Amino acid sequence: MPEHVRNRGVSLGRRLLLYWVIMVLAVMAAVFVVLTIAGVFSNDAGKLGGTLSVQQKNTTMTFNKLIDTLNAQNLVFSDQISREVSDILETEGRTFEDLDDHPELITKIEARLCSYLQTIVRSRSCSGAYFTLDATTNTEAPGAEHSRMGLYLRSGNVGTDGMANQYITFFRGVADVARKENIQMHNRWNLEFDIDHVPGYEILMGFDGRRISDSCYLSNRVTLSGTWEQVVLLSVPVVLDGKVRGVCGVELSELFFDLVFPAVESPYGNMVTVVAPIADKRLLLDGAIAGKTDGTYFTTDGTLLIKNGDHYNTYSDGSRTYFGNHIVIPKATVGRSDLTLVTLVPEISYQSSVAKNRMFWLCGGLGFLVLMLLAAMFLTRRFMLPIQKQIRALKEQKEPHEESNSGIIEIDELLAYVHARQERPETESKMPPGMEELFFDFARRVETLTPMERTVLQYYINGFSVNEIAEKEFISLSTVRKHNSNINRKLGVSTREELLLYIDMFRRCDLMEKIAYCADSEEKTSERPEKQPTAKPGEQPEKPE
Amino acid sequence: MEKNGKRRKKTIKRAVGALTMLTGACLVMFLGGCGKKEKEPVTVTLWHVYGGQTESPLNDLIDEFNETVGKDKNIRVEVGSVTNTNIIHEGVLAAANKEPGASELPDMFVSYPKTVTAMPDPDVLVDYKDYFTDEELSAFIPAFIEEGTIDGKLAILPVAKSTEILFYNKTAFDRFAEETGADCSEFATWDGLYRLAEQYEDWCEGTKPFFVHDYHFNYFQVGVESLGEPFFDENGVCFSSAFRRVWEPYARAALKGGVWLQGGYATEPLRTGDSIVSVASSASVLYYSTTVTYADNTTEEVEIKVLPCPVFEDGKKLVMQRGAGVCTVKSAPEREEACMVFLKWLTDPQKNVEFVTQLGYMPVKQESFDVYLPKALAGIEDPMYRSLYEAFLKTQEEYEFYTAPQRTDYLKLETDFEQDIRDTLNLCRKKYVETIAEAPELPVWEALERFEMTFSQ
Repeated sequence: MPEHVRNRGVSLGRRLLLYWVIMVLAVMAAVFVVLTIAGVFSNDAGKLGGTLSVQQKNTTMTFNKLIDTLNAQNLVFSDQISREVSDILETEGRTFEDLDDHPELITKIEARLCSYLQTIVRSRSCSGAYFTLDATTNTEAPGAEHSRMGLYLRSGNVGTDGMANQYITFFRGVADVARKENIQMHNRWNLEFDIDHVPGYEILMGFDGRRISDSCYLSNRVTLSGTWEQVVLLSVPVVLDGKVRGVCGVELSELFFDLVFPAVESPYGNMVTVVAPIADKRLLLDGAIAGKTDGTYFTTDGTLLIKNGDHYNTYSDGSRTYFGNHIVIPKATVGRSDLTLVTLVPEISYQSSVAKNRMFWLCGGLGFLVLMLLAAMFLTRRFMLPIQKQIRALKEQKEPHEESNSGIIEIDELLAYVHARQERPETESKMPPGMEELFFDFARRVETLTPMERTVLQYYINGFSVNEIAEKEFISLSTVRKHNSNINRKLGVSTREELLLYIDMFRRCDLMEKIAYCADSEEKTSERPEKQPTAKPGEQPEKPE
Repeated sequence: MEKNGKRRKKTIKRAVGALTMLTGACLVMFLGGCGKKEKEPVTVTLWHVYGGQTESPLNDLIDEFNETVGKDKNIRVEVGSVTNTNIIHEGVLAAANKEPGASELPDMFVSYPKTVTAMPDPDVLVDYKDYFTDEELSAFIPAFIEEGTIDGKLAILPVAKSTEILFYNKTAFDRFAEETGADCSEFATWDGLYRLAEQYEDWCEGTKPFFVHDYHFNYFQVGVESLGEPFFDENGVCFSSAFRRVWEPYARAALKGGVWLQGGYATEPLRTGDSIVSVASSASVLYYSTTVTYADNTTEEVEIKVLPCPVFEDGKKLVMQRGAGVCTVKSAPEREEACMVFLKWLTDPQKNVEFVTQLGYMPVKQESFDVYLPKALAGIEDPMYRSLYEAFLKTQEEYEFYTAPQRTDYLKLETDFEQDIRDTLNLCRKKYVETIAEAPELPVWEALERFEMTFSQ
């Protein structure tokens, strides 16, 4: 193998292997793409279920803790109210029934209990606190049937404040108490409660006096009358001398709920926490309160139908759909067993996240596939180009360029061989310098023969004998002999055998045209139809039959 | 051979073309998926003061925005809190100073210049000039833009302006007038008003203060300036002759029990029937109720009428001009952009009028005044609001507006002044009542001396 060929190429085998590897990768990429489209690789539903389940556990824990703390607080407060009211009534020598139409007594009670309420509100565990007792300032006033005394303090700056600088507003209660305590009156203040608008009032007032710790009531969401605010109330009864005399509790506003239950980011979208009543496999959002809902379009209105699923449930009303799960809240539900804690993620976020993920892998797979195919095409071109160039050169019988080779050892070897073969006939047709001289000289001498001598020579070329020549030419043998000796002398041969040898050589080298005599002898000399076998020196050619 | 080469080239081209189209299709699907309208919205938070603890017209407007423009542009505005500028001031500074327990700064909040100047790093706020073109800014009343410009930066975008105005319980006043011949025309001047106050205290035997003013500091500031003398000097408040002129009728009425000296907003004593005349921000209209609830739990429906703020006869007709604006906190570009979309919507001439007329504010663009406000006023049904806007327009026509100076000590001076003056007068009144038999003269000038001493400490 030529040196330059061996050094500048790679084995065909290695190239092929490389191409095979690329094609295998391309096929794998294609398969991967197909499987990704089919969703075979992903287990999104299971993962979503897992995420929701973890979030649900967390919010349940937070919620239970919150309710436990608040309930404990409520029970303590209820106890405090009982004690203070009993104390004041005793001091004044009054009974509970005397509270009606007794503004000074009412003011005294409210003034005494105001600081407890302030403590609760300042504790930041809620957005407000209240108590109401079954008595009214003026039984003759219009609306007195559903007007009840009590205090209601609300935090004025849920959501903007730091730990210091509490801002409390006086929502219900005697105005003088507010002024004395230097509490700002709420812009929608009223003197007394309208019990028609205190959720759970009837239920709690109807409490049959068992363990008060079983009597907690968490209400549906209600709008605080005269305001834009939506709240839920967590309440317990107030018991005096074994009789339920009122209700007290805390307020959890929507703003407060937002702080306790922010929207939690997940790979499938933001997860929202909702406390909602449930009935007939439906979530009743009109009575629900939700945590922060940013990143979603979730609103607390309407109802959502629940469909159970393997990994998570589906909540939908036709126009909006959520995935999630819910548990029934065992606590704080006296008189109701229908409150649930729900974790929701919008279907749209989930689908867009799944699609995004799939698209990412799809694009990646496709991109890889395209890359592999392009690589295959590029390499093929690179592979083919030099070969094609070489073949073109070969066909056009150009000299192969020293520098251009296909880069493949075996191909270059083959091409070099072909080139060599192409060149050999020219070399083969070239004789060694001495021989050429000999042929040239002989041919020149033939030129010097007379026409008759050339004719005779032609007879010999065609294989005729001396006798046949004399017969054909109608000359004598001696004349033929005479021509022979002239021919021999002029051509520089000594015997007829030598002459025949020369003729044979010319024939073998395909140079007969140099010594053949074309003219009239054509007719005569072509009488011999058969090609005569090469006459060995001294051998007579066979006579034709 | 040439034909083969051409055919091969064609095949390659076709293959490459097919692959490109396939990739392109995938990309389009991918991007299309991304651009789906109902992906998570950009949610921005707002702390505002428009509504306090009552119904909030701004919250309703925000709902409208979220359902319309917001849904189109994938923006959701969430109300983080509705309080008052002091609460916001404290909350914003706590957040900006990263105090323990402080909440995060919202994307937008309503603020006065005093909050911006008190911030540790005002660079956290957006310069609206970066988002509003010169043409857009020229649509605003120039004085409002000027008020929101601090150190060359438009940090506060005006959205609504208010002034001080007189609200009174006409039903209760008529009862008083019937028996005493009092005339509400006296409300045109401070002297007249305080005269009525003294008369009222005689009538009700000092049981209820006649008059409540939300901002005693402003009464003095505007009063003194209207008399042609400066209220401030480089050290603080200037106790000039004009100050004494302003002090006298006020102190007389207060010592007689005719001025409400307890804390709280002016709406409170009017709500409980403890006072019947008040001067407050025109924006308080949202908090005035036509229902008075008395201590015996009886209620009375009353008529609340509105008049321009009283002035000093010997001074010019000057009145306080106020109104906070909205600051936007710098954050991610899409959030800032979302805030701008909302603010431009809110300050649109027609929308702005719709917004302010529900709250007792004035709009902030000339076009609003010229085109939309007259139309809106014609449509106001609530008599209190009608009365308010009549008074407001009269004020705009006849009065000059006074804007408080941007002093770094303004807030401190204001707070101390309000506290000290009430404490002083309370103390002096208490002493007066106790010693009235021996000293029947109202200790007007002793009270001033005492106040000067307390305040200067």
